[in-house]
Amino acid sequence: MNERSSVLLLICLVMPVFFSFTAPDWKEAVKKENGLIEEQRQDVKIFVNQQGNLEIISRVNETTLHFNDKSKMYSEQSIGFSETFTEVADIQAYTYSLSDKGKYKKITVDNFIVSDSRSDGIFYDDHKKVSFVFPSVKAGSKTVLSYTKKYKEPRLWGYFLFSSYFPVANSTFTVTTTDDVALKYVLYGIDSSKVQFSKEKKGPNVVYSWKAEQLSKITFGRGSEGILNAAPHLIIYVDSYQFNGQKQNILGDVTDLHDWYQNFLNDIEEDSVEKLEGMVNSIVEGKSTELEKVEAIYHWVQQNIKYIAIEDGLGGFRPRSANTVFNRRYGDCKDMSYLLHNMLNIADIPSNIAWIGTKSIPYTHREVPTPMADNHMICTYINGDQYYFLDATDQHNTLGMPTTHIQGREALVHKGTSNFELIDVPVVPPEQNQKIDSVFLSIDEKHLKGNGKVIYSGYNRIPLTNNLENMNERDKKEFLNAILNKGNNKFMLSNVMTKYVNEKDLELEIDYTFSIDDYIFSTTDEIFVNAHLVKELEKGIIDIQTTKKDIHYPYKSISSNVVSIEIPENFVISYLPESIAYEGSDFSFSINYTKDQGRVIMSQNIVINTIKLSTTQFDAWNLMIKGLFTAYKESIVFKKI
Amino acid sequence: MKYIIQTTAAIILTVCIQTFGSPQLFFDEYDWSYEPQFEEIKHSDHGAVFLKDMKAVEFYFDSEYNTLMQLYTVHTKIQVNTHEAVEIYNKHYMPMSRVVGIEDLRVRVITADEIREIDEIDLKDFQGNDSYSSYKFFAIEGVETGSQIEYIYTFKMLPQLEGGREFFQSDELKLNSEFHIFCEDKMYFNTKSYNGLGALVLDTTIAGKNHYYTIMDHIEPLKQELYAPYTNSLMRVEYKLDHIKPATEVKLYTYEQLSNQLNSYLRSGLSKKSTKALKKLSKDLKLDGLNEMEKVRAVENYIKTSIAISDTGDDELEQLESIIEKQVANERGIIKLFVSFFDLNEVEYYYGLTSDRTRVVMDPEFESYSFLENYFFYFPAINKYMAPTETLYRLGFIPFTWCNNYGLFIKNMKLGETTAGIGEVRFIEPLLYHENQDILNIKLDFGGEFEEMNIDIQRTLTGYNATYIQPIFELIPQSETKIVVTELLNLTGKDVELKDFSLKNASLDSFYLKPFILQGSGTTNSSFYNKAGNSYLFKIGEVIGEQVEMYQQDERKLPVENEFNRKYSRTIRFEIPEGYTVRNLKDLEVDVSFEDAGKETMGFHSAYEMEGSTVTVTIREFYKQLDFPLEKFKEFREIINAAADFNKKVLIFEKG
Repeated sequence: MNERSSVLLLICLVMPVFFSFTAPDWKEAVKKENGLIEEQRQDVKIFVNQQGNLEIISRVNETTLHFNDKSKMYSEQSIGFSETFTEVADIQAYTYSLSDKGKYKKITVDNFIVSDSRSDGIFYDDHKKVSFVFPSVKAGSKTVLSYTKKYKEPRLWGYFLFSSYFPVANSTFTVTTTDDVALKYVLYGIDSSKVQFSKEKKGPNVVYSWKAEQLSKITFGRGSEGILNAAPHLIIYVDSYQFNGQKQNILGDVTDLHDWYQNFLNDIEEDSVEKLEGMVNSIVEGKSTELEKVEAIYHWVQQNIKYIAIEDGLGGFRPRSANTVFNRRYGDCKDMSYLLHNMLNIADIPSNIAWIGTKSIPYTHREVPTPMADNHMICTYINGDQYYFLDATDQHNTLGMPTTHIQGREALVHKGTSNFELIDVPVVPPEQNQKIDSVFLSIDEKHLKGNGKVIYSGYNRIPLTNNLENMNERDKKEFLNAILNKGNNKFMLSNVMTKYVNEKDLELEIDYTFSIDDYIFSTTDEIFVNAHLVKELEKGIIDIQTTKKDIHYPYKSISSNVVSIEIPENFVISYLPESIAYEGSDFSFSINYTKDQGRVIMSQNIVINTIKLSTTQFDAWNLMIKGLFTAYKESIVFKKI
Repeated sequence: MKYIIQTTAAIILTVCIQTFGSPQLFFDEYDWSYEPQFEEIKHSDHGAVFLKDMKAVEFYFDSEYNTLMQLYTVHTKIQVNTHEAVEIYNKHYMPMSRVVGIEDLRVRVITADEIREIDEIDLKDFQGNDSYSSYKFFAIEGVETGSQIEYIYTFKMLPQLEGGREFFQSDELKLNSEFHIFCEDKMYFNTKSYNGLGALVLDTTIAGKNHYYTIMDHIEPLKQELYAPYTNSLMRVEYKLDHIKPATEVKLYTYEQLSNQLNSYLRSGLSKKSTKALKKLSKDLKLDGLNEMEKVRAVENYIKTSIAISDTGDDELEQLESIIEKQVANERGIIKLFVSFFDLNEVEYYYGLTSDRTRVVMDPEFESYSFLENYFFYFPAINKYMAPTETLYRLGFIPFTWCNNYGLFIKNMKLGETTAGIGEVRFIEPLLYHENQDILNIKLDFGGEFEEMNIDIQRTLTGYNATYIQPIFELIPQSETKIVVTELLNLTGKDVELKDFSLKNASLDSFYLKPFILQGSGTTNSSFYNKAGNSYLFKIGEVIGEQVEMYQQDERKLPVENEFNRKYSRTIRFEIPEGYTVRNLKDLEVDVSFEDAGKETMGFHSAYEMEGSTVTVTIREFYKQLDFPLEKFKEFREIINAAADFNKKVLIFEKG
């Protein structure tokens, strides 16, 4: 019975939107698609109203040509919006249906349904969508959609994706405003030479325009990080505007952004914190150093506050009071960070709140001083000259390490009213994220028996302890059997013991004994043993033709496998494979064979010293993988004396 | 059962029942304990334990709505022992289908130190397209490991008399499970308990009321197993209104009534204009002169490729005129369109409804609309089924989870001037094993002295084996096809560069008609064989791809259930390079099979032949039966593992 292919399932699930191609000849490539967006445009008007507020209204237009009956699956569409910050109005949708006689007939959509639309991983937010079905979508049909979107908060306006789920022939974004409004903008993921930009004065107005042509469909490859990393887009924001001779700063620089953000921290109402104080005192009791106290409080929040994100309206920006979160025992990243900050405060330990963008965001606050640059909040603490980045949303993270998704990112640290600092979060070196698996094998006729010890440190231990902590004995054994599996699927764990599952700051240790049937191969006078019981990176070859984007890794790591094999009685080594290595600064491996007092020892070490493999490194990477493959092919041969 | 119209029975009921006063409701009397004790639980090795799992359905005459309504009360108490359990149970979701009001909702968290009743429940709302996709939910404050979460709520709902279902078993341990139905003493229900849940008892001691109930003080958790029916094995109850006294003989919500109502509904609204349009379409499709099979295929292909299915709740989606013009319909609209086409073109058919057997198998002994979830057609002249609303299936192939199951078959009968729908429960046979084939044809060639190995693989998939790939293959962008082909040829992760590959019958119009054939070839110098001194170890088993294994020896609880009957045929051909010998070809011989009443039900056979230096290995693996009782599990596992064992076969090529 064949294993069902996981690649296929993946493709079935995500294919309609995510897979695509970039062909050298755009027109040829488009022919292989199910449809084409002939034109997509947004025309934005920004004006200062009589009350001195900014009004931002965008008109969206989209015309799509459907090549075949398959694009029927795109007939159901929706327009998403946030109820608090945007308004959608004047929706017009219709199909130009192509008749047998080659004439177009216009059929309008008159049924629009508003329903909730929750974002992934969010318990509750105010996202809604207007859904409708384009009638008569078939080969030759054109569907046309237009609507108006009004932005109630100027700071939450401002990006335009040039491409879409189909290739786009013409993509246009315009802003009509006056000299009173100063705009800033920056392009991402697209060469500025491919975008026609103009800024023209038209009467009292200034019209900005960006146009791009012949855009490929948005694609996501393996190890890609979100749509902002995958799709070419324009970021645009209001720097400032003039009203009655006064300058109003909106998002000119990080100072403006911080000025806006700090409002959300200043008006949090805190009622009695007596219970919270009691809790903090009991947590830090007996801890002598400040660092120990920080660790205890951080771990308490990680352990006891469960992640439930409720983000309606400004709730998406303003943390709930420390007391509320403490009583509820749940919250989102802001709530946890704010609670941590307050608990540290109770313990007289200074700390700060910080906004940060996880690695799904391709820019920093310095580059884009708008809410587009962050999506997360943490708490920071300084001890001596070391910065600590406390992110309690990860239950198993250790103090001293940032969570994986904020490594290498920039934190906007709130130091007080109109006082902030931009701090770079380090990337944890590979030496802190190790897996070291050592096994001692003996050969018993056709069976392989062994005992082993494996150590997981840093980020490597997190997914394991996360699982182990919650499992009963039966599930634990099944889980470990899968994790420790080596040789083939006849690997059978007999005894297993885990150590330091709950001690976050120690390495996870697993001692185990096992047997593997049908792995070694023997004839009347020879025994063949392939010492590569675990073939790390076995599926590591990158298909250069199809992988066009950088590959992201969650963290840097080192993986070691040491296999020590007892030479069977009355046998000698008749063949020992050669040692081999690949050197490189971002990735490397070494495999060594040695003999030692009746044993053969194979030790393998693989280092991944980067969190992003760029496309230019793919050839070198494949060279390393081929080297590994060659080594994996080799078996040790024992011959009867 | 969202597709079937509410029947007239509710009206009869209202008339019967509203004459009686309103006796005390269970809902008014039932409550949780006002001084709850923190119960020390012995079962701390479970992530969570349900200390209470009570559900009650109460039918009563509602004076506000002036009709029969239903109160649905849930009382649950869960002890959460692990962080994972806290994260699962510190929020609760409640479907809003049929709900018209929330009469009561209270939540509290009990720990060893305190009882925290939550004063203001922050009830959140998810408004979907209709009530079937809407739900309400809330997060529960103050939950820590070791806490006991308790909630009680009552919904006022449109009554579910035509068939209701409650599950009582899950993957958690449950103590104190209860189920109650309360109704007027004139109303009589049919109930049936499954998989060991205690039968419902009728208690008539409450004046004016009938009370059906069952109480279980301990329900063991049931875990999922490979190749096993899970949901259908859980303890559950089905219930349905049977009759109202004194009209004992007038059975309510029968399949007979439903068949009639559905039959006349599906034939309603056929205007002159739509008949004309259908006639034109039939002409365009050139249905005249086609045989039965061709007609059905043509109509099916037209509808499935031209009409989009939507469930935005618009009435137009069930009106033929609009469907034909706008080419959008809901599921019932699609059935209407098929029926109208078939009637007009004189195709003989049954239509019907069945359940998904991986959830619950339709019980032929228990009439309940709760089983009627998926529409199908059956064509007796050609003995084939069709799934009208499943666009990725075609005549002869309905989703395999609908087969090996019972179904309600409805036939439109002419009775003089009128027509009637006659319903009958019948078995939907699964397809035979040879209709779902997976054939591998592999040629291997060692270049030089094992400097490289050329591999040529052809894979042929038919029937359900092709379901996952054939109908969608065309939708895969060209740049991804190589990845998919590599995967299907079992070469993913191998150091084999596919030099060229080809596909046959990969288009939408071939699927289920012609086999899906992939062929590819490539070269490797590191995968599939190992060097060991002067010898080479050829891992012949790996070329057939990784196989499902069931080596673990945990005690099996559930019987065996397969997705579909199937057959695998594999041929591997290679030449032994000059100067080498292979001593262990005999290792390739495997022969296991089992039979039932003299008929082979499943097996794995492999053998080899040698002609000169050419070796041909043939493997045959087949499963001719979907279900096996628990006693036969070991046999089933032996076959599954025989294939997994073959995957580890190694041949040794020795010099000299």
